[in-house]
Amino acid sequence: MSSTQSILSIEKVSFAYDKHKMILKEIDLSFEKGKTYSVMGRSGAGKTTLLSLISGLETVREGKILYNGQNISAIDRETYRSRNIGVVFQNFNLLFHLTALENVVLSMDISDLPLNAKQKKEKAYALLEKVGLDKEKADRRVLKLSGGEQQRVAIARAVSYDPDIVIADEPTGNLDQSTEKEIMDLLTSLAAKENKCVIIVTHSPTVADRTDIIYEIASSL
Amino acid sequence: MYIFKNALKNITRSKGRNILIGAVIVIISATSCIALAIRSSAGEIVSSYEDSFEITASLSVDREALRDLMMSQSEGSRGSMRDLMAEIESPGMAEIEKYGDSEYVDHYTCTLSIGMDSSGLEPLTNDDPENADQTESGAGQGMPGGGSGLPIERGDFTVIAYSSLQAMDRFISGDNTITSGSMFGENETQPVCVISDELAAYNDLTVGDTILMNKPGDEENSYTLAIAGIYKDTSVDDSAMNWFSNSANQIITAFPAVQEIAGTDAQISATFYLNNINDLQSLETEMKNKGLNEYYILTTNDSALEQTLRPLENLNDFAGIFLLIVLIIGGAILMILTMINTRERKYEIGVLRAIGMKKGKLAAQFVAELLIVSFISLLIGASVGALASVPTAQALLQNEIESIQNERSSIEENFGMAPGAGGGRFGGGQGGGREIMGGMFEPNANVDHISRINAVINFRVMLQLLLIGLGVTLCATMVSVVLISRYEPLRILSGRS
Repeated sequence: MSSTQSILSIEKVSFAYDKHKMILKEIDLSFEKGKTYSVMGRSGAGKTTLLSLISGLETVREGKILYNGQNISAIDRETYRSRNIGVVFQNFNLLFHLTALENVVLSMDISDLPLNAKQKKEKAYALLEKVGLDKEKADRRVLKLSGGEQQRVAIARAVSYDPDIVIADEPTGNLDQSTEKEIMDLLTSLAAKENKCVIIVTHSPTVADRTDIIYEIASSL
Repeated sequence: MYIFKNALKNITRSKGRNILIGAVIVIISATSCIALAIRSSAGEIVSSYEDSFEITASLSVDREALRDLMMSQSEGSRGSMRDLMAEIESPGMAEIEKYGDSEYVDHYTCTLSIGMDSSGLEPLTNDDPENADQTESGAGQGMPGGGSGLPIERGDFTVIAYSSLQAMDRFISGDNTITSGSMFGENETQPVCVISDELAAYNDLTVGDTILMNKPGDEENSYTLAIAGIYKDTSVDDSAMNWFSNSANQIITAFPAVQEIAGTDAQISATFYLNNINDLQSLETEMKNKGLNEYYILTTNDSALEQTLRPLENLNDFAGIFLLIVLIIGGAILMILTMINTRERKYEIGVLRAIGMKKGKLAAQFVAELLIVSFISLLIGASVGALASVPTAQALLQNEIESIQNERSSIEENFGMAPGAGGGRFGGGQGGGREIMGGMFEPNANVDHISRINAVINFRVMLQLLLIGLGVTLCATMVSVVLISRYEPLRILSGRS
């Protein structure tokens, strides 16, 4: 796979939290826009670590991760996270004191989206509606939403600033089957309809089966 | 913009916490406001009082230096202090004029005095007639500057003349008041005089009578003085002590009259009015360069100024220390509250950083929150401080004056006198916001304590308060900034999960 055609490529990335315990060893992966990817592996294999490295939450020490051909270690990681990559965390990581709408708008604010307050609000309502949350739910504090609804808010927040890559860590881990399906529909449609590169870290073969490409990380132990 | 919006949202979200922080800042700003207002007003009063206070200096023998000189002499050849003082040539009128001609001197006044006897006039004495004919020291009480301190010729009376009416400070202050006749003019050349009502009554004298004076031991040459006026010494408290005032045997006459009577025997005392209190040393040096004897020193009335301003300066110092303590304790409490606040919001910091908010913007949001709370609290605190500063300052000043009065009463009690009975010796009581200190311990210090302070909040105080508020807030926000910069979003969020 040529890295020049990829939106994101991982080249010989190794990672260890301490010298004696290597989590990832010389990983080479490539991701393209318009496709969905699943990263699988057993617990402790380094899936979430890989996600942290891709999203710039963890620093690459060996090898390199290229976004649009540019090493993410060389660019401002906050800007990268706020504009180029959207992360749907396993625990959603929403701000509970804010409404669903405010969570989404805040994300747009942080990414310096060139819209005025009214436009951002309209866009946030539209996004939340698209993920299945009507205006009434959009105006609720996220604590008053169910797990599935919070997951939808997290997805809406991740795509609110129109990033090229959307990463989701166990996006269906805490959800029932029907909600799992709806969430997967949402994520796959992001790749199919909006030409995003969607990377899903999962344990679930059902979820993995719905993605275009499956990467399995073997345990380095 | 969104940082400010978020800051406002967070303030209203955490009302309890922000009210607590606000309360601390209100206390800091109110107390700082009072302390600053006191310091500012006290400073202005001190400065203005110092500007308006007439600093006077007079020449006197440096007794300490003389004592050292005496002690350094061998025992056999050691003379008495009196002998040494007699050897020192006191400055004459020509020297005084020379010393007065200085850039440090605004103007100067002189008194001439001489001890004299009278064949037809009975001096006032206290009960002990043996002491009636004692040596007078200096030019007598009431003489500006107190004279050189050299003993003058024996005599029952002190004939004294002032170079100008301005030098008669007891008449200017109202301690002496003409009750009959009038004071002669400044340019009087006739041998006229003014005597005390006690002396007049004792000798049955009235205005227009004449008295005959002669130098002690020289009864052949006598001088006639016509009584132009009779004065009353109002500063003597008749009920306190049954003594005649020291000035009762003082005969005030015109300058040329004493010059003619005394010639070079007159005791000269000069009072120099300085342009600036700091010029004393320079003036003394200049005088010594002009020939002043090395055993003469210049002494000032600055102790009176110090006494007057002492309560105010004490209050100023107290306000400064109080301000410092409030800032240290208040600042520490604020920093602790900010640290707790930031640690409680660790998750929020982790989320915001994880979705790409920069450390600087996040820190700015926290700073903005505290600044908004501080600004509102500062306004409330300043208003409270403005309302409380005047009565608080007044109460503190009164307390300080009372403390000084108690100290003085205690001294009087040590002398076996009832508090306040010191009269002229320890100063009078309090009246109409004036209190006089001085007397025995501060011979030249007839001091009016400044007993009112108007500690108002002016632009300068507001500016200082704003800077203090900003400084304390920024110190407290530094805690947030440091914590935010140390937090790693991944550690916070993974720790939570």
